[in-house]
Amino acid sequence: MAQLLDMQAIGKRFGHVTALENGQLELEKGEVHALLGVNGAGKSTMIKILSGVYGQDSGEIRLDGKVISLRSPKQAKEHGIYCVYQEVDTAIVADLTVAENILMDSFASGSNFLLSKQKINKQAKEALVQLQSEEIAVTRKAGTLTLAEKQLVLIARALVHSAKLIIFDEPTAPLSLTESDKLFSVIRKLSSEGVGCVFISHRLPEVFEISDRITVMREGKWVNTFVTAESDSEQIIEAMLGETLSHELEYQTHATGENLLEVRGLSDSGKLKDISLSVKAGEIVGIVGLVGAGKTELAKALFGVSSSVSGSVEVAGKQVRIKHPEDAIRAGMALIPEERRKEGLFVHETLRANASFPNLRKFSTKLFMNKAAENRFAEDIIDKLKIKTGDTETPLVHLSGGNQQKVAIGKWMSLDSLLYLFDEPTKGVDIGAKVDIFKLIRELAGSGKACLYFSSEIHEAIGISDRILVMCDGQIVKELSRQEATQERILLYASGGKEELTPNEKLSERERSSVPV
Amino acid sequence: MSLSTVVTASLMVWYDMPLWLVLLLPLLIGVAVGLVNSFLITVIGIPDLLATLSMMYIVAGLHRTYTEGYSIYNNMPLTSGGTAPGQLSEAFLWIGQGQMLGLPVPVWIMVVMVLAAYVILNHTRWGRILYMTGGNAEAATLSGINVKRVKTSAYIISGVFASMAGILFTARVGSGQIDAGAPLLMEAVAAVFVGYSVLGAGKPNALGTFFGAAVIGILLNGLTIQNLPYYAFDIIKGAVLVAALAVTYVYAKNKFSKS
Repeated sequence: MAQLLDMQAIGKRFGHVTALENGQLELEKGEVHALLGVNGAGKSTMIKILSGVYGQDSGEIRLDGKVISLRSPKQAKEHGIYCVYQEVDTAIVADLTVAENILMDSFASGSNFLLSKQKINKQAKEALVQLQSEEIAVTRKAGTLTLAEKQLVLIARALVHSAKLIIFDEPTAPLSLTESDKLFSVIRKLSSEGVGCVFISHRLPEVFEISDRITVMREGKWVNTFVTAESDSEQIIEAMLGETLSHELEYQTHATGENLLEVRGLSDSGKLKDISLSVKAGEIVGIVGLVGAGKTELAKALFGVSSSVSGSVEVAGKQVRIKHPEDAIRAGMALIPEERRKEGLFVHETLRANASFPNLRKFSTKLFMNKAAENRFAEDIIDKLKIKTGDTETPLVHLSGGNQQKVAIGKWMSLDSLLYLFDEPTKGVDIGAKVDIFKLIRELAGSGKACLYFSSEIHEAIGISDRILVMCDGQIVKELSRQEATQERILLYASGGKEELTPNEKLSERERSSVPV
Repeated sequence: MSLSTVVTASLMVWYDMPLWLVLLLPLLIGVAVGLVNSFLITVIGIPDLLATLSMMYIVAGLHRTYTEGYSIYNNMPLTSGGTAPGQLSEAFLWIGQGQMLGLPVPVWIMVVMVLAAYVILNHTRWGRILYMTGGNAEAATLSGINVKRVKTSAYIISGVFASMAGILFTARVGSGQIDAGAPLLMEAVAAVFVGYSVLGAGKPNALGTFFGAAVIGILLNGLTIQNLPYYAFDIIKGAVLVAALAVTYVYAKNKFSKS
């Protein structure tokens, strides 16, 4: 195959921070090339240089053998380089129709003053047909589409301009499995037509499923490029981390004690229906379900954030009424919320102020704050959780996602909570920090705390949990012990399926036969 | 502040009330306005800026209606005929015009309030909770803070502070001027932002605000001495605010781009 793109020795500095030292990426026509690396490895900077958002400080970019300069997104688009960002909403105008969104670039720069609706609709339709997505009506308002459909609209936008190269920046992060499969078939179709695709994802299994080659980056440098068919995930992870990963994601046994949390018949006014569960001291219970199954709602209902929750909750044998997070914290609960930057942390405040916040009383015995004690505690959790930070006065915006997450967990440690609710704790966190977070959860369980682990990453949940509760549509549909849990079974229940179809079939047969003919 | 100014004056001039009541009632009005504000914001859910903006008009209208549009001064003639029975007492005027250890009394009051605000905001649990709630109400809730209660108390305190300013103003000029507080709104906002950026704290803070208020006060005083007409002052005030905001946002932009 002919070479399409060649990026060599790309360098980029922001002030005195070197984001990229030696970025390399080669891409052939019709190739799906995965770009991997932990957070801060320089992937996004590479992508932004390629899509014209930043100009590179050094190195050159060749497209079809010719050196090109990409100084603005517009130039990149003129060269046929398009990018489908993870946050599709930033690229979609909600109030315009699907067709207008697809053809936005052409009439933003076009010379025609008047726009023909019919022509636009027709062109948009053609693009969607190419993506086998003609079921999306071109006259619909883009705001009413699902995330997956919005992505397709963005891909269609690239197609109408006969894109040579499309960058997919974590496209599957917000998608369900069936939606991801659909996207993959679209990517395969594009590559069969000779479009080069750069694919970024935190999920390794996907990368192996879709890509032809994998380029791994670490600390702003190119590490290696693998041919996917000839490599395995351990090799890749080793290249990403620079060290071999002992089997941290694998299960380790540990002792459990008495029931610590007992929930009966919990419902809220919206999603949750009649949820009962229990967690023992020292136990990690995974609550697994697809996106939208009601996991976050359950975590929030338990923690007293949602209103009009009915049902009974017992903590350590005592009935508690939780109307506000204040009550939940008093009862011994801690919540590490899914949207850590929005809900879990004060990103503009210092690490010290964040760490002491849930338990200010402890750090202000009399009238005044005891800053020395705060600092001691902050240093304590920096040590314990291996948080990479300048010092205790560093504002959290300067920390990476994984380190922020560690602060969001660490801030509860001064309360000595009994029960930890982790809502998607590994979301947007690189493998290195993931391993630390898993270790931490195990340590908590080992010291007799109970942990509820809410996740849609099934293999991670299997790795960490003693027991798995599968959620689907606001209900707990199945409880699986560690031995019973497999990815396939969990997925089946999570997507609303049932096992053992035979008894059901028998039943329906019996019903049929009981109907008088 | 305008409301408490005229209420203070009217209590003395129209109703001849004792001093303690004259001081207490305006403060209670401040509490009441704060309560209404926090009701609109926390219970009904109107965004803070819009709720307080609407209340500003209501309160301004109330105080003009209450005085029927007149400023209040000693033994003023009343619309009902005759003159008002009372005067602003010596003891009351001392609050605004007297001296203690060579410094005017209002300066002492300000020093005490600034120090109290500084200590509370920077060195106590309450201050921490106030800053965090302002910074990210959702995260504060999930950390067990009752955000509604915090907001309510913040608005009440703000109402009380405005009332104190009104009382001081009355005592200082010796009469209850209508619309006394109106030009001070922008000055107060500007003072906060000047302090925000000047001291590099990166957030609104008590000492910075004091500094900002002093800068604006000196600036306006200087311009008065230079014979700048009063109607041109708004140009200066607006320019100071824009400059302070510019510095603040450039600072914020740089702070973000580092990460």
